[in-house]
Amino acid sequence: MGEILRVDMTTGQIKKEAVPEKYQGLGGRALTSKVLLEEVDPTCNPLGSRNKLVIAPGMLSGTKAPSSGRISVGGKSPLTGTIKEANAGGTTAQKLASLGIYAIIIEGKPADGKLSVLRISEQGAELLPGDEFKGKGTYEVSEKLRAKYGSHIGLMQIGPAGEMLLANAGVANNDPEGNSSRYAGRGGLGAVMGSKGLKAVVVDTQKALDAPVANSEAFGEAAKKFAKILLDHPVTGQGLPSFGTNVLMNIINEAGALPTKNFRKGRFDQANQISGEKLAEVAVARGGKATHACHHGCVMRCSNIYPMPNGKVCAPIEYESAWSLGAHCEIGDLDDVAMLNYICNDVGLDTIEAGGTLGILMEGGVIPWGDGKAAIKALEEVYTGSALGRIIGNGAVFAARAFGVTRVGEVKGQHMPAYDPRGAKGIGVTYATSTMGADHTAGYCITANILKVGGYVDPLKKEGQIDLARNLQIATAAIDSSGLCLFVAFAVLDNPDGLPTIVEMLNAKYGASLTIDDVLALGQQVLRNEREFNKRAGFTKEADRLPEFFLDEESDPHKTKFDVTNDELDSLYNF
Amino acid sequence: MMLEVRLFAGLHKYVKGTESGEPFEVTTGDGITLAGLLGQLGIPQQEAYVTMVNGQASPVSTVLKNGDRVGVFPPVGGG
Repeated sequence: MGEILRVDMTTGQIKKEAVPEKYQGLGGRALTSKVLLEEVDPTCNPLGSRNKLVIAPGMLSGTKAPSSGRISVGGKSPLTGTIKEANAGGTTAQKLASLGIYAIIIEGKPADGKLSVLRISEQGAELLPGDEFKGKGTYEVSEKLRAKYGSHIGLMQIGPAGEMLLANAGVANNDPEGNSSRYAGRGGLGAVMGSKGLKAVVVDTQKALDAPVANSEAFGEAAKKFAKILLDHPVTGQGLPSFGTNVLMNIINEAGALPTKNFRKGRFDQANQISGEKLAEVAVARGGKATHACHHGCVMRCSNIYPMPNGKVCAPIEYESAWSLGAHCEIGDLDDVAMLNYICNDVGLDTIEAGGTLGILMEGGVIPWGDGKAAIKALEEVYTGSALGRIIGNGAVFAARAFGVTRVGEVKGQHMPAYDPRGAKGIGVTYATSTMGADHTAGYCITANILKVGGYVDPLKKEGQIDLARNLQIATAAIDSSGLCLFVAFAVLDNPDGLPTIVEMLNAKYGASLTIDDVLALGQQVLRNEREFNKRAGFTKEADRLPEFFLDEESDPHKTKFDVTNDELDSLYNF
Repeated sequence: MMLEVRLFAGLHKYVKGTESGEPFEVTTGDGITLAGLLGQLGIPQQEAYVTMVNGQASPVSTVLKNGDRVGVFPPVGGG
């Protein structure tokens, strides 16, 4: 069942391969990480011919499982030097899975430096010349490709940042309306795609929910049950569909864990001005939408459509982006945040790292704190490829070196997301120990630390954080493989029927007889594979640490330091 | 005693004249609990999914002190 598309960018040849036994039954992150461990030398140059870019829809993507349209993009990261899986919504996963494609493996490197577009349809796959799109932003390319092939296409692409091989370049996926804003953003995989000379992947099919299912009757019942589980939970059924992810701005601020002015404060006095509530109010008043689905069949609808004063639309503004481009830089104007977000989407950068980097520019005195217009001007330089633009596009650590800044909230070269590890210590453990560098989604301890989902673990104490981060990292690795949006975890953590119903869907899809233990074992295996890759790449446990200032400086307002010991961090992988 | 209260994500609709997420002062009797405060403001307890006192999650049985900063949230999530 299914096939792997292997695209050799050195020769321009495309091969369809049967899925080998070792990859059978895998999808999403489980598959991208397994392929990388099997096929890529972990010591390779991330932007050289030996690295590979692996694209895999999740195990349940392309089925009627609710909120299952996630795609995994994997490769060795030019930002961190570790293995990387970046996970995104949008319509591509469902379309690839509907064509029976397990994975696309993009390898080699063209000698001529020309750009290509990979078009995949029911008739097959072909590499087409792409130089006409050179230097173009993602919105323009999206418009042109949709005009050429139709608005039904699934589209993955890189912006100019990826073409310039900047280490913070992401891979954009389109939403159903054609916004190139659903990013497999973190870790610079857009630069890996750029190094292969691949500007875009067009999935040209009307199909979206046609992935093969072994037992469709049982699948339908389980999928229906799972939709009810999501709709019945207060967070996935009411919270996310009302205000989207940026509703977090105020609660993380109230909890004193909102990193402000490069982690100097845990509260931003203008947080409410860039919050989900404000966003919903302004978006609706301007004819946008406070809630929106990034792919067909999502019941949580956490996305939004924010019309900007210049007539363009930023869709969506996510919490992490509103934080990095807002509170982190002390920018309190939502229109400025939206514009910065839009530029990231168009030029092809991850918003978390980009905002983190703009904060470094402010720390270094290059632009003033809180000056949204100056931040926009600086970020626009990425389009031009100027020296400043390239510094920004290479991420926070690179920019910090360039401007003599030593205060950088990062792990393994990747900037932290929107939670101070001293105000929510569980997420600090995840930042330190994740196979991906500082990453919140890898083990989202904010659930139990702040949101009262899946129990409660006091965010200001270190007790219980290792177990919390371990269990969530294992569960997340499994969910990232399933193709389900990670946000289903809010419901699954609280509802005893949640995980068994996911297992029912997997069994009906594959005609298998998996147990809950098998699914958790899959999560563990994914982490082991990634850890092994990193070990072979030269990473030791000494890389699993937070920057010193989190250990030395008390956070505001709770007066806490990150006090989880190194030995405790090193016990995370005891499974 | 005086409390500094903020209501988020739609809950301000229960207290006329307040704005989402903006602080307002509430005068209460000494020794009032969070549950008592919610009752005084007319906010149904089941809608107060996360309640914070001075930035820390606190159960509705928490006894409040003069000057406390109180934040009340319905179910929220994201990330």
